[in-house]
Amino acid sequence: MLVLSLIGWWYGVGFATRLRGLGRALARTADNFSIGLMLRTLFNPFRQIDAGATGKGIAEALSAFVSRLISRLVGFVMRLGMIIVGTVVLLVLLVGSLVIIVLHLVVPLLPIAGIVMLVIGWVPEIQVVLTW
Amino acid sequence: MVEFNYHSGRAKKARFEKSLAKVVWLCYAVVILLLLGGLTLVFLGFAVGWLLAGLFAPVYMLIYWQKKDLSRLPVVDGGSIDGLLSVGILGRLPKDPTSRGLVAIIVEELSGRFLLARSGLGVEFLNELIVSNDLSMPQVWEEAVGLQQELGSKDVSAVVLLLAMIKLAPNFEQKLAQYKLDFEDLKRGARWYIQAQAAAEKSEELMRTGGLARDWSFGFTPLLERFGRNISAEISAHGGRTMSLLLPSRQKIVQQMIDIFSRGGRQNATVVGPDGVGKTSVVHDFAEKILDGRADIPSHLKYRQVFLLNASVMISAASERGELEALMSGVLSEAARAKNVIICLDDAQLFFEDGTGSVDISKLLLPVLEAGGFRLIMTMNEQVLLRIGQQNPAVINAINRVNILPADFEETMAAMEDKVVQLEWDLGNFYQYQALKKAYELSERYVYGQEMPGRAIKMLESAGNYAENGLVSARSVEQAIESTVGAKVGVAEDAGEKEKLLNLEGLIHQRMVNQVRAVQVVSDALRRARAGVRNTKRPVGTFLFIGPTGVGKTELAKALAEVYYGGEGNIVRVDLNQFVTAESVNALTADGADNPDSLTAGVMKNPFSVVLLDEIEKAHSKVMTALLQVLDEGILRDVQGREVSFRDAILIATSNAGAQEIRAKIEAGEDITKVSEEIQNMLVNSGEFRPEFLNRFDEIVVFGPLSKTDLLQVVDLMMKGVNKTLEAQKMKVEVDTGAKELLVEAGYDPRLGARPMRRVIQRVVENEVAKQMLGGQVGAGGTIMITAEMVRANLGQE
Repeated sequence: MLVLSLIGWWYGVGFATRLRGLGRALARTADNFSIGLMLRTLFNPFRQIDAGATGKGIAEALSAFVSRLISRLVGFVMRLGMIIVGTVVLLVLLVGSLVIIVLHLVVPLLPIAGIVMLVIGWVPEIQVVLTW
Repeated sequence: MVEFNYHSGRAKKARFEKSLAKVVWLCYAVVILLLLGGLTLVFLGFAVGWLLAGLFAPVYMLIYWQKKDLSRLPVVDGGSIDGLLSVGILGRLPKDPTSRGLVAIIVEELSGRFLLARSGLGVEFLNELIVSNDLSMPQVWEEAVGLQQELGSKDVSAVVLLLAMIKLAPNFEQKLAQYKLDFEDLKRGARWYIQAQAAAEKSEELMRTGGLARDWSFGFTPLLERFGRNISAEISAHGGRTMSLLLPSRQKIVQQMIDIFSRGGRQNATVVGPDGVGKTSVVHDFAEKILDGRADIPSHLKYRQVFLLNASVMISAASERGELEALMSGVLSEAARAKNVIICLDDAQLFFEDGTGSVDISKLLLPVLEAGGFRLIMTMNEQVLLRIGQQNPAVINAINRVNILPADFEETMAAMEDKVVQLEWDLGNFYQYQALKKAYELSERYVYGQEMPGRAIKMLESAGNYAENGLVSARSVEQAIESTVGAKVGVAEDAGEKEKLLNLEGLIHQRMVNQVRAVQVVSDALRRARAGVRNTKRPVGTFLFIGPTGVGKTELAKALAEVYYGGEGNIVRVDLNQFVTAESVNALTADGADNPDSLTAGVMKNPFSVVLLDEIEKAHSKVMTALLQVLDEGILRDVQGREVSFRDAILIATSNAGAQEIRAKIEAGEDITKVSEEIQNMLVNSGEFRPEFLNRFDEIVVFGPLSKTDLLQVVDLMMKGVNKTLEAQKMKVEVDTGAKELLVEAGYDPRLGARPMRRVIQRVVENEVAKQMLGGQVGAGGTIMITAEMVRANLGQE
């Protein structure tokens, strides 16, 4: 009875709980890297740093434009870098999550697998070479 | 009828969870051992290792099941109580539960312990109330289900069951009263736990704050960081989710602010309310709300950082108007460049008027407000805003008002419950529920210049200094008040004080003669107050003493102050003959800073005192009208609009009105105690007092003129005074009987009472003593005997 309840929960509500937990971890990481917001602000000046226009002359306006352009370029590079890093981390996390999902599904079968392996009697052969 | 099914699936799971919870750490150890041991054996060439490694799985599954499901079994509404009970309770219940057994389970549960500890209810209370009375369990279940719904609890937890059992116990109200509690208090205590639990669960939810992208999109803010606090960053770092944000009234105000910033108009919100009402706290709630990316708010508001500018720091850094304008201009430019900042000018009035610690830079701020593009929050006091509006109406037109009203009892309690968590953490104290309730009650009466919930929280903070063994109880709050305002707020418990109260008449008569009825009525009023049986919404007592001059009306007030209120200094005396014009009302209620001798300033400073309103008949009718509210409700508003409480004072008004008539009646041999009503009618008919004014007094006492026999006692009292003065010189003065009679003859004037006697004593006794001392006839340790001859000589009768 207890075993049946456990198995029933494991593949039902337990599985859904597992998915929710993994989903939350992914969401937290995604929020930290905030890739969507990074993309939306890809060409924004980095931390709004620029010299700003100090006068009305063409030289000042040009200087402000260049300054802003550099800031945007720095912003673009930084954000692109972070988008790449964030995407890689999220992908790793996603793969990890998939592995955990598969493991979740096979965990109840592990005792049976252990018995089968015991019956087969296979063990990995490890050659230890000692040199003096 | 609600039944308990011991064999239901949920009950079995709960029992299994309890057993599993005890060995969960062992299970973790077994998992690690099986995995490591099994795999080691496999690598060493033993196939049995596969079996061992595989066996970790069921143990791990049990741990996961316990953690994610069994310990938080969802409620099942199937008609029986086992579907609704919390896991902690359900897992411990035997097949046939009894109320006695249930109590033992409840005291082990966190929620049960929370309510018992907060309410100061101990094991004795439970034993007396519940254990000794075997309650019907189906009734307990039924009551608990009703309470669960009423309290909004997600399940029937220990706290709900405790309440249900208390309610079903016989005489529970009487027993609770012994702890100064009623059932409503317990329900509020239970709600405190339930809401704290809900807030804790909410804090576990993921908050999307925008991450790195948010910070990289917005500019650096060195100036803002120097002169302000980024409260959004504080919330991100330390977590928000205060319980106050769960209050509907708060949610409404925060939503109003969001609406202002969402529409196209002027992007400023001015939070207006009296001090202590929680204006800054509302700004925190707003910052918390817009920080959550999942919240239902417009995208252009999401992740905005709220900076609370410290006006005092800015003004101290740039005290001249020009400097401050330049600094403010720099701050606003920086905020505009950063693009994600909402500036909050806390106590914004400091920037709109010149004064001590404030500089008027409205010329700079007004265009910013009127342009409306810059997002700005201001907090301001209502009174000050009205004043600024009078001087500069454009400011009023440029702002969007968000009004905050003082919190009611429920909201104040919720705010205090929220604050207690921090206070307990900071001070290491534990606050009882009664302390919170008492803080509300007493702060309403004694804390001025602030509104709820600020005034109650202030009270709670002060009470922390009076904790006994780390416990802050109602008594701690009383002690905090008693030591700060000098009022006695609890009932008399000290044996010495009780003795004094019981013998008050005797003690007062040690310094005043006759007027037995007047002495009795004030003594009775004080005894009622200190026994806690008076109406606390009125002054301790209100008395009008009528009679000729020199008969002891003022003296009684002074005697009372000395005997019970710790000295004549604790008398707030106002001579109403100085309040004869309509404008006098302002002088009566003047701010203490302008006139420390005003009635309101005196009582605000010394609420536990005797208030003596001398010669009340001479006051202007408007002054009398102002005093009506004091007599009725014990409240008078000062010129600042602050309520000043007279509810711990004894009010004594004196009047010489009708003195001639009183004397005539006495001389005609009438009993003074029986003509009181007649005299009152006469005072009303003569227009000296309005009937509604006289009706407001608890007692109107007519003071009769002093007889010669009374004056003999007065001589004794005055001689006591003279001897007290001579104590320092180690000398004594005595008056023989013949001399006393002569003194009375010389000092007796039925029109002036005992006043001439003071002059006679001075002329005869004090002069004689002075002469003998200077002539060397008497020295230290000596006694001067005043004889009839001496009296005659000093009076020039020889």
